[in-house]
Amino acid sequence: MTTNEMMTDTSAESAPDAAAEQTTAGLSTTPPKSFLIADCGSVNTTVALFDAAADSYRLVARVSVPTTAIEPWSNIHLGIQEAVAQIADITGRILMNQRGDLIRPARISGTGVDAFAAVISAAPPLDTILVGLFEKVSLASARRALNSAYTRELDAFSLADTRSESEQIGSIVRHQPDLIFVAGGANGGAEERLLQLIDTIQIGALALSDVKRPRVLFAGNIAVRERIRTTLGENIHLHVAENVRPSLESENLADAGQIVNELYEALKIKSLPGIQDISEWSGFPLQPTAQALADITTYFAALQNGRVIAVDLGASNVTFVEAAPEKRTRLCVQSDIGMGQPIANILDKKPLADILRWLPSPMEAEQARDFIHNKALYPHTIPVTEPELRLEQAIAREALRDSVTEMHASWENGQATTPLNLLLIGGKTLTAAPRPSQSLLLLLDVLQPTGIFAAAMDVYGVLPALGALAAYEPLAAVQSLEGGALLDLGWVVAPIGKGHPGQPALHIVMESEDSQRLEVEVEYGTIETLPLAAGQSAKVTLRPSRRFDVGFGPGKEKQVTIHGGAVGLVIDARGRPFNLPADDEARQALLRQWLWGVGG
Amino acid sequence: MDYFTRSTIIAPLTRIRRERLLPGGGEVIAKIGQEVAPTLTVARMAGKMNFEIVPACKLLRISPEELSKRLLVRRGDTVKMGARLVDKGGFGRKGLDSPVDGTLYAVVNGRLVFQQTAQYIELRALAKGRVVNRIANRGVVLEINGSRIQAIWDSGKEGFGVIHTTAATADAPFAAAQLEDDVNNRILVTGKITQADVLEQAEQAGVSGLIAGSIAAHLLPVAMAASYPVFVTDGIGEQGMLPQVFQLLQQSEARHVALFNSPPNQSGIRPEIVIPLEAVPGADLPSAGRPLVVGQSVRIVRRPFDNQVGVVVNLRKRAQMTPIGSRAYGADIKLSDGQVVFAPIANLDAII
Repeated sequence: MTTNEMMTDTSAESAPDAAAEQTTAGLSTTPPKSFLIADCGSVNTTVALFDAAADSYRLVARVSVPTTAIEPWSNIHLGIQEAVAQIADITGRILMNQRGDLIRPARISGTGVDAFAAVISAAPPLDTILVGLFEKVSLASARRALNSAYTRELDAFSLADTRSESEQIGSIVRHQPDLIFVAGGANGGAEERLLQLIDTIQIGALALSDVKRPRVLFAGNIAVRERIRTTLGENIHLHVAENVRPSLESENLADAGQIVNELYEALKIKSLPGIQDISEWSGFPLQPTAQALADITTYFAALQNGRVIAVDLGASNVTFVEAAPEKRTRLCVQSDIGMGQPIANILDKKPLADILRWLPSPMEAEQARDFIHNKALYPHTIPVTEPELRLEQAIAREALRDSVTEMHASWENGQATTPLNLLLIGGKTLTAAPRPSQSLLLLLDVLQPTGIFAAAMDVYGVLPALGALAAYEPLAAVQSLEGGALLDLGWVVAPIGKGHPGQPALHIVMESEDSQRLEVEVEYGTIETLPLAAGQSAKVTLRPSRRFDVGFGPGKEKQVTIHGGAVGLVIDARGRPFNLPADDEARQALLRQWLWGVGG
Repeated sequence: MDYFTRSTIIAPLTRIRRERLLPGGGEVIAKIGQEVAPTLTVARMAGKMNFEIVPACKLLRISPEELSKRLLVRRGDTVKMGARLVDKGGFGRKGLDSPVDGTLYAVVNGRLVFQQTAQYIELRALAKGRVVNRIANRGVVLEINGSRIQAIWDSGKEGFGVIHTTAATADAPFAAAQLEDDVNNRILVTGKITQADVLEQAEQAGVSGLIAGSIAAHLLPVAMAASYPVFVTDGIGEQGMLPQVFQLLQQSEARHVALFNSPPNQSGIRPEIVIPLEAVPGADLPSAGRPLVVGQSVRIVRRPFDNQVGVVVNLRKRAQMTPIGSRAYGADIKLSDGQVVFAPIANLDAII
């Protein structure tokens, strides 16, 4: 499969012959005139070319090709080369030499580019066995630390485990994990039970051959670190992180999370066939996609001076990022669900009826079940009929709902009380929907956010890769985003409150820049869209009914300036939380009504 | 503009290379250049490992240092149940005897860890061929001449046997009547699997394997629980088997066939049905992964033309609007009934 987009005509600009100078910190002193970024996913590889314009960067072309990390290609670099060749074809610009090597930096003749950066999610997750003392204490914290990277939990040992030591050893041998993550014991707390578990791990790990032997990450009671090091000996690679649960009341996930991410890079990304060639092209370290998305979301939170949520519904995983100024950015990656090969896992997590309830028209359960399994076998395929589109979107809703549950479990003491400023939407199922309003509605259904916030979509699939670039070329990344790399969808107003269907929830007066006035009353239980095109802004007066609150108190009026987008101004007056009617016909009619409410 | 697409190999006569790998580290037995028969073991490893832990220091009330001095066996030694492990000395020569048959695997903090005698997992060649490479501790690469059909799903098992086509047509359901012949030790070919009880009857009839075009989703767990391998060539549902595949399997009646499953944790390696044949000069490795070209035979794998086969007659240079309003790059496909339809590249499977 190939999708290509030419943003503008090529006008290959002369670039200095010298390489962008690098400081010792790795930041360039001269911003690149042009750069390529790549996002290597488990199904597709997307490459985009950016060029410096007058005071910004513009997206010149973007190509998406099937991943070549798998058979019959088995070389992830081939996909990038193919995509770059297609960009060269589209733009008429020579980007690679005859050997297929990237020309970098750009030459005076206009060939080549100055920089290349890539993010990777094509590698399988880090298979992990968790070990801790108590399920709700050390194991819970260890899980939260693991959620910041592409990991898959295979088993967990704790004091509550009724299995014998021999059975636990058997589990290690059978599962052949990449990592055994050991937490447990507050600093200065329990030691002996933890050391017994370490004995079990040692035997299990040594039972595996050198090539299959797992790494061990210890993030527990610091008092036993050295004894653990001695017990595991030289033949087991031990990593030590700060205690994820230094006391019952406190949690410290950052250090362990970072080590898990480093292990993912070292054990999984670097094992991808052809990855070395990508590294050689790139002047910057290759980053896991989720980590790069977290970085760019943090940037947006600083820029907006508010809370930003990014959602990436990928083929093999779901990523949520939440960032707010002066708060630690939180990343939650779920690697056992996605819209590609792991899609069938949704049937193990949710009853099929939970998926079918989101369909605006009836579908046989068996047909839906067959579809889900076929999609797992053919993960790259796209819907071209209405029933299959609606079914994919229904599955996406439940996959995301599952991840939201995981996220809430992972983010205790969340920032939900902070108003949301921006919702970033990524992942092909969402960004390739026929109308972006469908994906916005999908996320409003799942997240049920409240307040007044903007929404933007990563339609070109460049956001994480720009995040990777931002660490080294911040100006280029920022100006690329400002230059239209994202599609602004518009704004959403979602009041909190409960009422009766038909009751007024919100009175709105919208005055656009050209003095056009629009006055509407939105009823409780409905969702409406007011037209406001991209590039336009309007003054909007919001008068909620006394039982409704748009963020300034129940019944409190507020005038705000909002900006338009591909969808417009969406008024979600369905209340929070809203539930779907149990009756099939009533529910389907309501879903159709909501869909029409955002433009179909 | 090149369009890369996924592909399925359906080759009547080709040269096939297939890795045969153990699930973990083990011993590779076959040698490079060796001709192998289906039943030949090419590599083996210890199977399910059971460990027995003997708390020697605790039982004998001695220190770990003392234990190491008095231990009568060394790591790697095989012992029989009742064999003396530790001689404590002294009056009556007290000691500790082995509670199991096994190998002393480790001595950890005063505890003796025994690996109980393990059964070996033997990796068989499954097909007549030649070893062209050895992969250290893991297995071999076999080269086989014959027919090769890439399947889309397998039940996690593999096997070999003699082909017997039981279905009259490529979309005929697997029915009890198809088990009336002598199907013992046969690998049956059928159109689609729609009933659980026939899968169970096939087990009782002693079939060695089952190849179907499709299987209903709710029967996947039943197929996975069957003692014999179940291979699906086209997909999940009631679509049946691609006519080309059915015809090739029909023509291979009574020939030996190998069913190679998709190795767990090895993304992208598909299950394969291989029918060894005599080598014919010129037969070569098929070139999958090449760009789509006009004239290429393809299968459409999504509605509304799902499982229809056709030929590419035009590659669109610009993205087209699909019936749902999205835009997609694609190709015009001439179906077998003469109709020309547009299909997104993403929904095409090149047949090689």
